[in-house]
Amino acid sequence: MGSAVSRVMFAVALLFFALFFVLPIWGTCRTAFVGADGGWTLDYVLEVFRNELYREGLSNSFLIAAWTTLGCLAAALPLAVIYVRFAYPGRTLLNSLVLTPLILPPFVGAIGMQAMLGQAGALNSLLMALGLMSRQSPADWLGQGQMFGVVVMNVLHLYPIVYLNTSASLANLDPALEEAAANLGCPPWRRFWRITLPLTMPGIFAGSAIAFIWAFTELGVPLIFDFNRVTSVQIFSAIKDLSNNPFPYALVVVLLLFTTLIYAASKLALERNVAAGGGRAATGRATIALSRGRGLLCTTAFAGLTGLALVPHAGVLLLSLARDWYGTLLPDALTLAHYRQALGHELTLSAIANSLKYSSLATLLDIVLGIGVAYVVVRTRIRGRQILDAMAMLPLAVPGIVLAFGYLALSREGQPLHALMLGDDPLLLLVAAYAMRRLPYVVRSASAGFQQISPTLEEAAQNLGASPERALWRITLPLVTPHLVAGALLAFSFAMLEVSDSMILAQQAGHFPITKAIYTLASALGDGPALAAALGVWSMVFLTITMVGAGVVLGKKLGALFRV
Amino acid sequence: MIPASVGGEPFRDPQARWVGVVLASFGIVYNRDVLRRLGMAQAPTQWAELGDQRLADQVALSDPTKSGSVAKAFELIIQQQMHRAVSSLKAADDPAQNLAEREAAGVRQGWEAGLRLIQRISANARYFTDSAAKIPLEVARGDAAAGMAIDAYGRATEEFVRRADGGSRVGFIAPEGGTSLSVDPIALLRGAPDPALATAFIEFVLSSEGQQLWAFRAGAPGGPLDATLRRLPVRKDFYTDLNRRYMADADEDPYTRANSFTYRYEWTGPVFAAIRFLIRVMCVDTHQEQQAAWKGLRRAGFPAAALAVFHRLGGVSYEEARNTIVPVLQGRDKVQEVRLARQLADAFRRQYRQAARLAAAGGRPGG
Repeated sequence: MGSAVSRVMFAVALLFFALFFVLPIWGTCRTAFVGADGGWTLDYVLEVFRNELYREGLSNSFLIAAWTTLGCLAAALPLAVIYVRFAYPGRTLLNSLVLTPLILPPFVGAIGMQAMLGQAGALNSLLMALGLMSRQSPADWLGQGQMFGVVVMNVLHLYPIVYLNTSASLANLDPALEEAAANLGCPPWRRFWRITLPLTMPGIFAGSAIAFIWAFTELGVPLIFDFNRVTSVQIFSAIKDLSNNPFPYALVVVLLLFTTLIYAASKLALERNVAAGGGRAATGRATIALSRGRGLLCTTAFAGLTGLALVPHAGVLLLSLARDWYGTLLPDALTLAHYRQALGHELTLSAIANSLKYSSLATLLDIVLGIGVAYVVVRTRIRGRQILDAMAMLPLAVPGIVLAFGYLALSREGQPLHALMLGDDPLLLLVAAYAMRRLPYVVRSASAGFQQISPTLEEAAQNLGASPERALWRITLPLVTPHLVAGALLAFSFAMLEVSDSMILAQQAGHFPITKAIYTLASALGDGPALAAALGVWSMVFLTITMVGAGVVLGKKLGALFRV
Repeated sequence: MIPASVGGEPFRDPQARWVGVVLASFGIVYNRDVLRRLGMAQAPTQWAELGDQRLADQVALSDPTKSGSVAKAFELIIQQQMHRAVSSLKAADDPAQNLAEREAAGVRQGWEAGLRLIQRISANARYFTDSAAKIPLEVARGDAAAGMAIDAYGRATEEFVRRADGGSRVGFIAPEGGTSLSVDPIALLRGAPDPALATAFIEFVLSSEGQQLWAFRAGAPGGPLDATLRRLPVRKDFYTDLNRRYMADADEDPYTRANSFTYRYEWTGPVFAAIRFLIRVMCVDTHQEQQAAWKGLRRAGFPAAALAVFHRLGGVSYEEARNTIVPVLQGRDKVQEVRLARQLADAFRRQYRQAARLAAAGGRPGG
């Protein structure tokens, strides 16, 4: 790329960030801190802490995030250790299946769980049939235990991300260090605590930070379980009327403040640990062969946890096929009618078309920006390129609900982004929101590609008379295509299943993407939940195909995309 | 054939811009299995029965600030209590007050009785959902014994879970004297692209054939082919013995039932926004504390002192709602509204906690 083109790319990326990252956050902060008289005030933000309702929302969000993170660690750490250390039946297959829970946004799984955890649901029916529960007093799992339900759904969805980060970190660990400790007489447990665990901390922190921030701002699951006392739902409830109301803005600011602190803390801890840790593995690690019984135990642990994480998916599938699922472990009669009806429903087809449209445009934008940013950062010496690199990763730290709220607030009549609303069509806003949220994945995979391909190839082409642009186009881009395809596939599939942007920015039924259509159907009379489940199954199939595609192209590096 | 208004509700526009097509009323949607399990052999017939302590944690409710139809149902609960108070005051022959004064006093008393009933119903609620349709969904799923719903929702749900043997676990009842009868209207938009076609459609919907589709059982001659819609036709002349033979709700006599309730706009209409707001601060935002207090009260056998604290209505009398709360809500100053909501909610939260403490201290277990 010629330096002029690089500079243009740099400028375009900066402009994109200024418009769709800095401006919405700035606008939100301004409304939260400017009083009725036009002067600065802390009143609104302080009201968030004075008001017991908001305070409780925040503490509940915190509790959910903390429990979710702990749950993810409890599930993921042992699995990661088992995977890296031992050889057991089905090791490779099970490792690749760990990602499967990610094919469904957790709130859709929650619809399936709701059908199973009801007083006349599958779990109670099973317990009654086993004689473990009285028919007279069935448990109301979700009636009083909404928070527990939210945590369970979050853990089942997020532990694979913690697992990927931890196992990657473990795999990079130099076995020589552990061997040295063993040589000096350190017993296995002590070795794990003093050597292995501290050196794995970067991965643990990275995964935990993602899980914590995700759970802290999760919107869909608490909405489905009608758990209103969390900050994200309180913000969502307030978006219908934003005029003259500074409190939702103040809530968003407080939420952003906390996530930024958490992100910064995890980054700091990460850097300290990396400085303390050793380098890369100098010798390969040999997995330890286990006895038949122990090996099967490992296999069972892996398969059991993955199976548990897929229970919500099974619930969604059964709900979509059930004629009426009530008071039995499995539905009495199965039918394909909901799929037929879903095809005829006014919401579903337009939602699928909308999602495809928004997501492919967002992915296209991501590819262009991703190549640009990665190229400028990896291949040029433009001053300030490190800032661009840091900026491209920032969307990972800022929750979707914060950006989506900012877009919504700034696209109202008379606000700076209002021109982006095409009548009442949020197309441009949703495309920008989706693209912004997934840009880190694409930048990361493009950077990895550029780093692997020697610049000498491009230089050789230029020596033979190709212009810099032509060299990039004919030599480098084809070589990084696999990386780009993988990043783009991931960006595309996660855009298809994006929850908070879709919930907040798509206000008219005609513009609903799939996720919002599923949410709306779930509370529609009669067979609404079954139709929602049918649409959920459709998106599961769809995402499985794209994830497998990304996995095939990217191989083992797939996990690397989920790291902070 | 279609009266101009019934029981205080308009049935067609005086200038004929719109006209009612089918009737709508509010009522209780219930799950027979759950009621039986809770030892309630009879389905509820009145709103007050939703406050029965046996239904604790088994009532489905929605936040009235998020659903207009649920807010309307709460308004009807309050109106019914007003009607009762007004008629008993009018019957009592008190020479000190003229009729207008007695009515005003009855409205005030009914307001408080209504809010207290809503407190009990809410204390029984599992939690508040965010849409009116989730109420019948929860009842059908067996997650709640009963809830309030517009008749179309309740009856549609009853149809939806109907078994092959003809029975249904879900039922719906419109409480006698507890609901107005209103209409779902149809209208021709100004500047419609094909007014002739639209007029023909409106005429069809209002014709005998059109009305049969709303009311007849699926498969009955002149009835719908696939699904029974179970809506009550607006035409008064439809309710003949001949038609009743094919009607899904053959026993319904809505126009007679409408005599048992007159909607008085001037009583609750001006405070409608305050009703939604107050239920939010008294019940939704403080639901955990309210539920905990209710649990303590039930355990202690409802000691009078604790119950009185639970039901205290400080700062939310009818006058205060009209003169203080409504102006704040209409002022569209959200800062003031949020502060008022916080103050009131804090007070209710404190009183629920106090009621729980009193119940735990003073009540005898099982007493």
